This record gives sequence, structure tokens and C-alpha cells, in this order.
Amino acid sequence: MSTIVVASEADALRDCLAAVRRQVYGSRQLVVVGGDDAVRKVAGEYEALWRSSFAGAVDALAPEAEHVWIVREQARPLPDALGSLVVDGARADASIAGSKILDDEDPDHLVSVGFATDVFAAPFTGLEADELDQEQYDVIRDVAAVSGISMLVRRDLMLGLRGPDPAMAPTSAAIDLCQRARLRGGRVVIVPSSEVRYRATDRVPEWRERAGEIRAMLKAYSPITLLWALPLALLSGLAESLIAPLVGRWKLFSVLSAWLWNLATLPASIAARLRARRGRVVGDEELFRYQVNGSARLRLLYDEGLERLRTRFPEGVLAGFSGAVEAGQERLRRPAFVFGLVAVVLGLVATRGIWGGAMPVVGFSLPPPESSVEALGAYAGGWNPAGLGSPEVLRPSIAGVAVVQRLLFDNPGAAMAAIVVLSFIAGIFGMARLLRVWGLDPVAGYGAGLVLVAGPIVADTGADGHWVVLPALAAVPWAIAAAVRPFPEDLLRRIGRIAVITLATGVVGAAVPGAVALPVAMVVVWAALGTGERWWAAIRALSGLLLALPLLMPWILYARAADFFAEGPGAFWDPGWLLAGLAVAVVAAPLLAGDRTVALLAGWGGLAAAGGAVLARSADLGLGREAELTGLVVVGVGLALATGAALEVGVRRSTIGGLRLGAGIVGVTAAVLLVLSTALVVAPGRAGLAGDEFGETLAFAVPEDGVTRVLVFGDAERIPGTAYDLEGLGYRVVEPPVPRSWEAYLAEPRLGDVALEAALVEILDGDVRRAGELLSPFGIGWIVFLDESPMEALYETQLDLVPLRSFDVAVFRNEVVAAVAVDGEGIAWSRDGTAFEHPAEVRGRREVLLAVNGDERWGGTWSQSDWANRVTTSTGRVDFEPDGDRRAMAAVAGAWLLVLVLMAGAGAWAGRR
Amino acid sequence: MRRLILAVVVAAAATVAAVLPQPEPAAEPLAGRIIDRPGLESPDAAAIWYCPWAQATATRDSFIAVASLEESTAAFTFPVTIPGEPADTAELQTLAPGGAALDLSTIAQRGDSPSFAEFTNGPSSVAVTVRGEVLAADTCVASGPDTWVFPGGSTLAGEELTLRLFNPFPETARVTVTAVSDIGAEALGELRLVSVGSRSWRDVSFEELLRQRADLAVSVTVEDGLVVPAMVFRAGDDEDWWSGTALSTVWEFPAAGLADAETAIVVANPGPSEVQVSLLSYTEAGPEIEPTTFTVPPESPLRIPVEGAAEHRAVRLSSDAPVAAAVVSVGEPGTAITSGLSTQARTWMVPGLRGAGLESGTLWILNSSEEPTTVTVSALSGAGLVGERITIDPGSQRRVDVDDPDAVGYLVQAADPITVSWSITGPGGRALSVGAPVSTETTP
Repeated sequence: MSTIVVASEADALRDCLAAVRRQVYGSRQLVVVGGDDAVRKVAGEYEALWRSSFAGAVDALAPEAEHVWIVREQARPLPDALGSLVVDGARADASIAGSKILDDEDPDHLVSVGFATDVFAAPFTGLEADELDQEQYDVIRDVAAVSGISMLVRRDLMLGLRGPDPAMAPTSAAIDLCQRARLRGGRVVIVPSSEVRYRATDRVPEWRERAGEIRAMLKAYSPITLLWALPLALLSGLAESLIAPLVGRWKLFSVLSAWLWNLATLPASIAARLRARRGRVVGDEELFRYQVNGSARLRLLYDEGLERLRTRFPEGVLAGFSGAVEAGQERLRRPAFVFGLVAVVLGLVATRGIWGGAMPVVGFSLPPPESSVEALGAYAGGWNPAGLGSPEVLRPSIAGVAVVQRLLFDNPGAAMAAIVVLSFIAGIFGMARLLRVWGLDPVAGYGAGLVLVAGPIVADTGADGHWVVLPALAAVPWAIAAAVRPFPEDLLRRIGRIAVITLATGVVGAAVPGAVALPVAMVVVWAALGTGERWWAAIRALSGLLLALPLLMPWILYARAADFFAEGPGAFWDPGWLLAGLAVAVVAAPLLAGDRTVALLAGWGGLAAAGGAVLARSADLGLGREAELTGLVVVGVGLALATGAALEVGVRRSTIGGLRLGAGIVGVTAAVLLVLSTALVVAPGRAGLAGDEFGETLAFAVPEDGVTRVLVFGDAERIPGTAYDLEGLGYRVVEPPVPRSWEAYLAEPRLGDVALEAALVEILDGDVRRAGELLSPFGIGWIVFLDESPMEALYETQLDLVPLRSFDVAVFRNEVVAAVAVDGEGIAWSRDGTAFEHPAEVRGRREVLLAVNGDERWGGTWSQSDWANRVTTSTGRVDFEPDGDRRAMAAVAGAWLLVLVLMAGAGAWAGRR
Repeated sequence: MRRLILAVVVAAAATVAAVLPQPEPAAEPLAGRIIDRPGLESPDAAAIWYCPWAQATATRDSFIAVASLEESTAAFTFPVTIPGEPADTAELQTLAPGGAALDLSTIAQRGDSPSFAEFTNGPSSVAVTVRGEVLAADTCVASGPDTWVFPGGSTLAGEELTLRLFNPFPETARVTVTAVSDIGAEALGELRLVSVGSRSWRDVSFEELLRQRADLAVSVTVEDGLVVPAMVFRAGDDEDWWSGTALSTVWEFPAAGLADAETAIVVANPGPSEVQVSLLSYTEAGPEIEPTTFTVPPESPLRIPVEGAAEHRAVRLSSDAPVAAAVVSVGEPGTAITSGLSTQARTWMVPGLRGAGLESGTLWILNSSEEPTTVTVSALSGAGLVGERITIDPGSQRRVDVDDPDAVGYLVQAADPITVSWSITGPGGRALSVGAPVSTETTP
């Protein structure tokens, strides 16, 4: 028997050596490691060898010694501590045996009885704060690691492992040593009969322990485990940094320091890893054996938070709460909960820029109208104010947002924030819920959910401001899950289930109308190739679709599918080779390596992704923007499903081997990369949307009185909403300061639009020197060039356009008075929703010229003035008389929505009952 | 098996997606359309004419005459430099063809009043004649180069030379003014990037900047925005204004010899090399036999007196490199100056030419071709046209005195390309101007 005492202070060492010398089971050799001359002197006093490093001490071990007892200088072993370790350790055939550690100042208090760890190599003692030693742990048992304060190591193992890693802090070094021993087939046990008292005099910075844990992972885990464990460790650390301030702790610097340290010492870690894994006889499964689920550190924080909560309330006050607390603790021990929590945190981080209602104004991401009532009115047969206006039906998303806005006290920003944030989180949980139907691990489900709402599709569509993709993607898995899950027996629950399918399908249709049939299509495909009871699911999904269509009235009755899918620039999604390669990998690998269910899921997702890609690249078939958007939604759902299947292969890796394992590794790697790619969406905090471009850009153009328009030229993809074309240059009119969502989609050109195009062509031909005068009848008070264009030169040489050079974009002010609505006295009328009213609300008979496309439903006495409207009114207000049929349809849709919500609520109530 | 079928179906769908052809990339916006930054130009049918020089004071007034080949309305705008003050406006109607005129004092009497006129139809033209204590006239401009050259000035004792920079547009313009004189290129650093505020004008007096220059050619290069420059030369009691020109290798001066005055052709060579110029004179009897040849040093003007000037003399100048040229006439009747004509046309409008009261007007026509041509000279008035047909021999000049008191201008239509200028003499002095060509045919 040899004993190695790790020392740094002479005084502490002296007490420790005295205790070691008092051991009943004597040690032939005593070696002191570390410390200065004073330590060396004390070592001499006790006739101990002294070595500066652990490696030196290992080299100095007596050859006849079978075991090495490693003791830290803070240890005060009881006389029979070593004897118990030797006897009980040998009885358990342990390679490493650890002592029970008690507090030296209060020996009734437990410090350590061996560790479990989490997957991040963080220790989990399982002890409550100040837990008393009542011999409740006094049984020899296997543990993940034992404390480095006192451990007995087999000498041959010690020689092979070269002792604890000197670069690591004590606890992490002990865990690392135990992990390396277990990789070589060694058994690590705790021997409670060996009691060692511990005097806590050393204070190791937390970041060092944390850094050691990361290094321990780097050294011990297989590449596959590292691929997912390291990113999760980082995310977990960041989550801890966010939560820790709630209990008065600051962890961020510790987390960052640990990762930076590992980055700096990576070459040394790799070398140590090569040594550690050389000669291993077991895989990661053995390491996972004594690990707790979730994050041990997060769990500690949670416990600490609860403890603080308890101490702040008198005894008994929280009695009713204790059940929930216990339930919470129980949940925290489940990985689903931890990963769900991470998903929520990620959802919040990914949408943090939108919480305050500050949606970026860019592309098709435009704020809703100020008044939800006006928006609903416009949708329900009212005036469509896009461009020069039209009576065409607005998109159902306008009504959907307006409903939410109405519920949120008519706050448009809050409505958008709620929709985006909830969509993000609901999408993650929805996908996890869907995949759970086939028994997929929650980790795979949440990973797939993350790819669904923050993956490459959201990044792609978000760049153009298509925020509607997010709620559509989020709703699809809910609709599918509700259809494919076992149908309940209870009638009320059945009705509720159908209502949920209908509502989710309705959300898909309202957001991306082209994708309204996607849930049923997905379920039908699954029915064709899937497992289990499924054709009834297809019927349920079909019922949901049919019942959802009335929700889209009146739009759905007036939209011409052929025109709808063909409008806009040709559909051609170009995903890039990297994404295409990852997609192929996440589909092909589980198809090959997964079990039957996983393979079918991957194939299902692959079919959706490939089919969606066909639709999204169908320009050659004459399809346009909406087809591409629909196709991308399909691709997004398919890619998420395949990602979930690929991750599940990783979870079930122990059941496969050989070539299939290799394919599985490829699939898991691709899936992890896809999950990691969501950082591109999460990090900016805008839910994938591009940065704000028009939030302030047009603020200068707000007139003092009345309403004016801004004529915007530029690349059609940069102009807010859709654009008309002038010899390849996009243009449209918008109303400052911010174009609203109901202005996004321009209708088919009407008389005014044709007249405007003719005027622009005339200017382009160089025949005009007073463009302001020419554009004034269209209410155009400003001209803005978003991109540099040679056409600017034509506007610079106009006699009535003033170039303004102080803006980021080229701006021209029309010197000619331009108002959308102006009366005979030259007074510009202001806008109230889609209506116009006298600024002073003065009554009396007035003739008003409305620069919107002519329609006889404007006002009382109406006549067409060229392409515009001349209205005589005596009320001081001009309204557009809504279409009665469309309004009735919208009312039916609203009522149907209410009924569906009630039905879904009733179903949920019945389920709880 | 199901797995295999599924893999095949997925692969097939992916292959279809992969092979779908990418649509043709959208053409560059406005591809195929050449949009140069418009200079000072406007369409013939709805031209805008810019008149930098017009005055209405206690001792002067400006007679602004318009001519149009089509029935048209000319809307005048007289910018006011006081911020916030609206511009003065006026309108004139013309027949097809016809002319109309107004006195500036009826619109605004505040000294200098540059203006621009927008025609609803055309072709059209405008001329301004400043009358009273002086007599100065020239045709306004509807188009112009980026660099305007004004040869013909001098700043000897008793002479004044003023450059007007008129910016009728709503954006501040910047110009750089350079000059070459008989002593070479002048240093005018303070006139680099001169700003001219929107809808305002700025005068630069050279008699202070460049004293005692016998020959001074000024160039105005527009750097930003648009500017319409004009030059005013005063010698003795009279002055005349004229518009700048671009460079050309051929210039014609239908009125190069005026009675009782010393006349000279001033050639400006802004280039870095010597230029050989040759002058050929024309009288009513025909051309002189031999041209006279001169060398213009680089970056210099050259004043070539029209020796033994007869009253009926015209000059055609040819050069081996582009130059600018003007004719200057100083004498007892007054000071007259105008630029040469670098284009020939069959139709010329001569607004502002008339013989009214003590003022007598003369039309000068040069047929430098080798064929005789028939020319119809018609008086433009509110009542329409009255034509007089004359024949001009090949290579000869023709003087036509006009005396129709109701005329506000003349229309000259020829069977072959000619050049036309006009002069007017009265108690205030003498003025010389060029006509306004319609549908330019050839370079002479």
C-alpha cells in the first residue's frame, strides 16, 4: 500500500499526515505531492517522500504496492478509513473506491457519498443542503465518481491512467479519473464504512471546475456524443447564466471563462483524450449509466431557488404549494422537461427583438393597421387600400391578426409579438408532440421542432419578411398530431379533437393560404405508407380541412387558385448545396439505419421535403411566389420530420451496428448541424426576419394635413410588399410613415394603376420636366429610390421635384400639393381606417376628390373623375360601402371560429375531467 | 420493401426538384434603355426655354418674344430669390405658326428677372431683347452642353464682362468657371465649384477678377445640377448678352460685318494643342476666293479682325480641332456680340426681331452651299404669317431689313440648309443675335 497526499499548505498537511499515520491499516510508503519547501519539510518530519508533481509520485510508487490511497491535505481520515477501503473495495472488486466524506467541523453532516454526474460531467451529490449522516447511504454501491478527498486506486490502473489530470480542479479531476477508469472497465464504488472528515479550506474558482468538466467530456466521450453534448452544454451554461441572477448568482463569466479556457487548451485536451480512450473497453453507455437526466447545475439552481422561496415564507404558507414544488422537481428530473425548458428559452431568445411589439418592417413583414375593427371591416367586403386601392378581398391573415389584436386591446405591436412568439414556441412543442405519437424521444422531438421554426426555411422566408410562414409551420404539426393520435372514445373529446384539427388547419390557411391542405396531404401520405391505424386519421384530417375552409371566407370564395399560385416572380428556391446535402443525409440515414417507424418517418419527411422542393422550384411550370412559399412550408415540415427521425437514430444507436451505425452517425451529424444552424435564426432575435428597413425610412413623408403617398422605386424584392414593374424596375405607392400589412399585396392593375404607369413611362421617356405636377393627381407627395437607378437622373432634372440629399436613400419632394383626398376648398382630408374625413370634422356639402381607383361604392353622390372618384358629401366623411355578401361571409367565418374555439375548449375540458 | 419503395419515391421527387430549370434571370432594370443624366434639354414638342438675362428697371425693360410653329401656350416662370416668395408667372398664346410677346415690366419690375418658358406644343423659341438705355438681345436656350464656352469677352478699360449663372431647378447646382485669355490659362481658384442656389442666379464680374485682358474666353462646366449661363459684355454706353456654346470645328457667322463698327471673330481654343483655323468671307456677291488661315495657340483665344468689313459680309470658320467662336462688334452704333452657329437648318425662328419705332431690325442669312436657294421670310405676329420669298445665290449672304411694326419675330424657311442671325439697332445701341434653328439638318 502506498499513500499519496496532495498538498499545498504545511499546516494542513501536518494534520493530514498525522491522521494518515494513525491508520490501523498501515501504509508502507507515504508520498507527498506539491507544495513549497515548508510542505517538503513537513513531509520530511513524517518520513514521507516528496515529489513536485503527481506523475513523479506515480513513478515513485513502491513496486510491491497493490493499491494507492490518494488523499488531499484537507482530509482527516478516521483510523479505520484506509482499512475499510481496502477490505470493502476488494470485496466489491472495485478499481477505485471512495470514502464517505463528512464535515470536519460538524461530523454529522455529509459532504459526499460518491457522485452521480450529468451528461456534462457536472457532479450531482444527491444530498440536500446540511443533510445529516444517519447511515442512510451506508451501503457499498457503484457510483459515477468518488470524491478526490480520499480514494483508493488500484496501482496498475493508476500507472495506466497517470493519475488525476493536473490541469483540472480537484472535483472535476476526480470525476475525470473515475470516468477514464470506467472506460477501461474499472468499477468505481463508494465505501461508506471508510469515513474521512474534510476541512474545507481550499477555495477553487467555479470556472475552473466548470472548465474541468468540459475537459472531462472532451476526453471521455465518443465523437457522436460530443457532437450533441457539447452544444447542449454550451446552451445549458447560457441558460444557467440567464436563470442564475434570479437567485442572486452570476454565472455568465464563469461559463464563458470555462469555454475559453478549453478553447485555449484544446490541443492538450485532444492529446489527453487520445491517451484516455486508448485501451477503452466500454462505450459511452457505461458512462451514461450513473448519470442523472438534465443538467445537474440547473437542478441545483432550481433547488436553491425553491429553498429561497421557502425561507421567505412562514412555515405552512407554502404547504399547498409544496405539492406543485415536488411535481416541479419531479418534472425537472425528466429530460423532456429540461429540453422543453431549453426550447422555451430559445424561443424567447429567438424572438426577443419582437417582444416589445417592434416587428421589423421589411419585405412582407409590415405592421397591422392601427385599428383591428377597421382591418376586419376592410377584410369583410371593405376597401383594400393597397396601392391606389381596390375592392378586392384582403388576405385572411389580415383578419387573423386583427382578431388577435382585438383580444390584446387593439395593440398591433402586441398582436404581432404574441403571434410570432407563440408560434415559435408552439412549433417546437407541436413537433415534439407529433413525434411522440410514434414514441420518439423528446430530445429528437424538440430538435425537430427547433429546425421547424428556426431552421433554414424560416431563415430563407424570413429574409423576405414572410413572417406568416412561422404560424403556418407551427400549426401544421398540431393539426397532424391531432389527426393521427388515437381518437378518444368520449364524444365531447372527439368533437374537441376535430375542432383542434380544424383550427390548426385554419391557422395554416390563414397564414399561408396555399398550404391549407398541407395537414391533410401529410396525413394521407402517412396513411399510405405509415404504420398502425391511420386511414381514419386521414378522414379526420380531411374533415378538419373541409371544416376549416369556411374560416377563410370570404377570401377563399374570390381567390382564383391558378392566378393565386402564379402571381409574383417565378418560384425558384435555391437551397444551396450544403443544405441540400444535409437534407439528403437526414432523410437517407434514418431510412437506412432506423427501425421501421423511424425509417418511415424519415421517408415521410423526405417525401414532403422533396415534394415541397418541387413546388418551390416550379417557375418552369408557370408558378410564382405563393407556390414557392407553400412549397417552402412543406419543405420545412418535411425537413423537421426527417431531422427528428435522424436524431432518434442517435437515441436508439445501441440497437444498431455495422454499416447502419455508420449511416446513423452521418444522419445524426447532419441533424445536429441542422439544429445548430438554428443559431442563425435564434441569435439575431427577430424570429428569422430580416432587419428593420422601413420602420423609420418613410417617416419624413408624413404630411401635416391629410394623406399623401410615397412612390417607391427599387428592386421588387426590396420594396415593401409586392410591386408593379416598370421595365424591370419595381415600383409601388405606399402611405407613410409605415406601410401597413393591408397594403402588402397589390391587386390587379385598375384604371388608376394604368394611368400611373403611363405617367411613369412618360417621365422615363424624358418628355416631362414637371413630374411633380404629373404625379400630384395620384396623391404622390414623395418619390423614393431604394436602390441606385439611372432613372434618378430624370427626377433630378424636374422643375417641381426637390431632391433631398440628407437621407440614406434618394428622396424627392413634390412641390406640387399632393393629397389622396382633397375637397373643393383645397383642404386635404385625413384618413380614418379606409375612410376619409374632414380634418376639422366640419359638416356641410362638399365635393371631395379621392385619388383612389374609381368605385361607385365610395360615398353618397359619386362620379368618376378620370380614374379617380369625385364624391359629394355633407357629413364631413367619405366611407366605402362594404359588399354585403362578403361581410355576411366574414361574419359567418367569425362565428364559426368562435364555435370551433368553444368546441376545442369543451374537448379539452372533457379530457381533463 | 416499403422502405426501399419509399427511398426510391423520395429520390425520384428530389431528382425532379433538382432538375427543374432555373428561370431566366430577370433582366437588369431598365435594360436596353439608355438614360444619360439629362443635360439642359427638352423635347421639341414641349420645349422649355431658359432665359438667364432679362431686366426691368426704371431705365430698362425686356421685350420677351416667343415663336412657335404650332398652336401653343408658353407658361413663363420668373423665380424670386426671396425664400418662400412664389415665382411670378405669365402666359402667352401663339397660333400655328405664330408669335407673341410681353414686356417684362408688366410682370415684374425688380431688376434682373431670369425666367423659363414651358411650351405646350412646338417647335418653339424665345428671345429676350433688353431695351432702354442699352440694347441687348439674344435667343434663349432650350438645350446646352455640360461645358459652356463664351469667347469674345475682354476687360480692357471701360469694358465690363459679367457671367450670369442661372439655376432654374430646385436643386443647388455647382459649376466650375475657368478662363483663358491673351496671357494664357487664368487662375480662377475661387470659381471652382461655385454653388448656385436653387431657383436663383449668381453673377460673376470679370473686370474685377481678370483686369485688362484684351481677349477673354470663359468656360462654365456644370459639376452638379443644371445651370444656364449667359454672358454680358459692356463697352462704352452699350452692352449685349449672349449665350454660351459647345465646341465645334465649323462655325458660320451670317452677320460678321456691321456698319460703323470694328468687327472681329474671336476663336477660343481650350485644348492643349494648337489649332489651325481658316476663315472664308461671303458677301452678297459671293464668297471670297481664298480663305485666310490662322493658328490659335493652345488654351488661348485669338481675335481675328474682319478686315475691310463691308456691311454685307458673312464668315465661315473651319478648324482642325473643336473650338468656340463668337463675333464681336464695337462701334458708334453700339456693342453687339453673339456666338457663331454650328448647325444649319431649313427652318429658322427669329423671335424678337422687329422694326418698331426708332429701332430697325435686320435679318442676316448665309447660304454657304454651292447651290442657290429660295428662302421665304414671314413675319410672325398674333395675326399669323405674311411671307416674302427671296432667292439667295450660292455662297452668298443676304441682308433683309424688316419693318413690320406688328411683327414679334420672323420665320425663315428655305429650300436648302442655311444659317440665320439677326441684329437690331436703335437709340440704345445695337444688338446681335442668332436665330433658333428648327429640325437641324446638317453641320455646315
